[in-house]
Amino acid sequence: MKNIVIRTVRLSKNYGSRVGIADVSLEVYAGEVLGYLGPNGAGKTTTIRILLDLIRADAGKAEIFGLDVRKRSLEIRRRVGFLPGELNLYEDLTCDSLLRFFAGLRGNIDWSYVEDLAARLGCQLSQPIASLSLGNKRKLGLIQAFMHRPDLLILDEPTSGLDPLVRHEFFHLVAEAKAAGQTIFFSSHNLPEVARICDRVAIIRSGRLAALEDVADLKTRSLRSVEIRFGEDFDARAFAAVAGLEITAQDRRSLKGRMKGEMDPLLKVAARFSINDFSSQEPGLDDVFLAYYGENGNVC
Amino acid sequence: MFAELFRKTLRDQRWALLGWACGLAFISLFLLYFYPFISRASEVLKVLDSLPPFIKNLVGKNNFMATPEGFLNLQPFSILAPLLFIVIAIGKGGDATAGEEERGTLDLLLSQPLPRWRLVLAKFAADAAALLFLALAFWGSMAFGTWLFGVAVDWLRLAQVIFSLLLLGLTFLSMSLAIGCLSGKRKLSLGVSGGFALVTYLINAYAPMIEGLRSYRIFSPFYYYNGRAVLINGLDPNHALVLAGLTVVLFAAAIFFFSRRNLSS
Repeated sequence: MKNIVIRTVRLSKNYGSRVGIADVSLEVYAGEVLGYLGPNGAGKTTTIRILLDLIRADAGKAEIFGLDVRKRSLEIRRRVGFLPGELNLYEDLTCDSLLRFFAGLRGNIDWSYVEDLAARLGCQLSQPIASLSLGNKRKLGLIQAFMHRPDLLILDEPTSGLDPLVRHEFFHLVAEAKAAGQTIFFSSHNLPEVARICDRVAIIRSGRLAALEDVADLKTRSLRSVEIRFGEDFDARAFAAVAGLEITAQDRRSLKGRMKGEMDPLLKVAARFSINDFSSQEPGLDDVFLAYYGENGNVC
Repeated sequence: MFAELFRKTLRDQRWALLGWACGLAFISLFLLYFYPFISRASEVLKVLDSLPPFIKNLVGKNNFMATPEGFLNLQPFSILAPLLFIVIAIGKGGDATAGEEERGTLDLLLSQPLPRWRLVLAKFAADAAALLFLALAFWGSMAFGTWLFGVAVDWLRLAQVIFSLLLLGLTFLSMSLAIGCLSGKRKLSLGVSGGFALVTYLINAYAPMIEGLRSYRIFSPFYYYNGRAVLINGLDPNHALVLAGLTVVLFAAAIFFFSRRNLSS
């Protein structure tokens, strides 16, 4: 049986007449990376702020490590590292003094690990925070979230504002944390990064959980675009019977289409002809995302 | 944990505190330097003593220029000192939690293993320590000024009135803290606390002259601060207890409100 780290049951929160989240029930298991996916305003930050007891749910239940997030918040926060989506820091401090302040609040911080994180993310600790760019502030936020090696990392839009190199390093940090048995719950509206590092994905739409599935399953169900160029004339009728294939364009020696599910039936039929080139685009979650949100993706 | 936040809160205001302390020292020395000249200016005293009681009550007490205590009771202890302490206290109380909330730094702070009540306590304690520092600086500079310019004032009485001033500051600190904890809005906290200070100051000043208002004086913190001219008559422990009690009640309310509220992001 899997250990449950985060568990919400029909969690709901309204802001006046506006729905923040409604009946959100999900479970996050120990040692997994769960991506919490949705467009801006879908309810990601509301869920996270309830988990950290910054706001209180109107209905439903939320537990972390089996502890009620409202009643046992202090014990929970000792074991959680958090990066807010909208990160505001004390501008009059340096990076070093800010991290030492948080380290003092937590106690027992291995400072050499802080320096290691800073070096890996390219953060100069002597710099005043007021002089930092948005991306550099996010790096500092990541360091403070990781520095006490928490059992659970709750990261709200962690890659927002990071340059590609730092983003790459962040993915390494997540992989290392996962390997060390830490659990990572992070929100994002960036589909490729979720596909890259997450085990499962929860998709939230208009405050309601639309799906909670394995990333691998979602990829299998998503549409791949395929293109085959043949070395001879081929018989298009042979492909009509391939399950899951939708042909979008063809001529005498090439075929373009979208393939759903396993590729094996398509490859077997294609192998009857001489093939010059075969390409299949790695499926992203965009298709899935569009399936849940519709073409205008901003529904929330 | 408590010590970290306490230290940071004090460190954040160290330059401002130094500035206020210098300002209070300047006021003390300035007034005490001029007192000997004023006390010898009999014409001025006659004019001042001939003012209608209405005006004298508004700014101080009767016979307020005859002795150093009377002079100091009028200035700075009737208007200037309480005004400064209240301005400082309200600013600190409003900023303590509501300022952090408005600047968006509270989410990260409260994601640390820090109970909300302890955050309020640490902020209040640091701001109270800052007021205590200013009170000590004020007393020190007043005492030094009386020695320097040969003005005969009992230093213990001076300590008593400044202690009462500190209690007044703490009352308004806890009030603006409580409003900030309730609303999360710094400006609202400053506005309501400042408005309350103005209204209760006027009640305390006018009430003795207006029959219908006289009994309302007891609702003004200023009455308990210096309603009986501490520098002349000594500190009334009951009055000090009222201000201390108000501070405790408002501080408890601040913790109550802050512990139960949704914080804005």
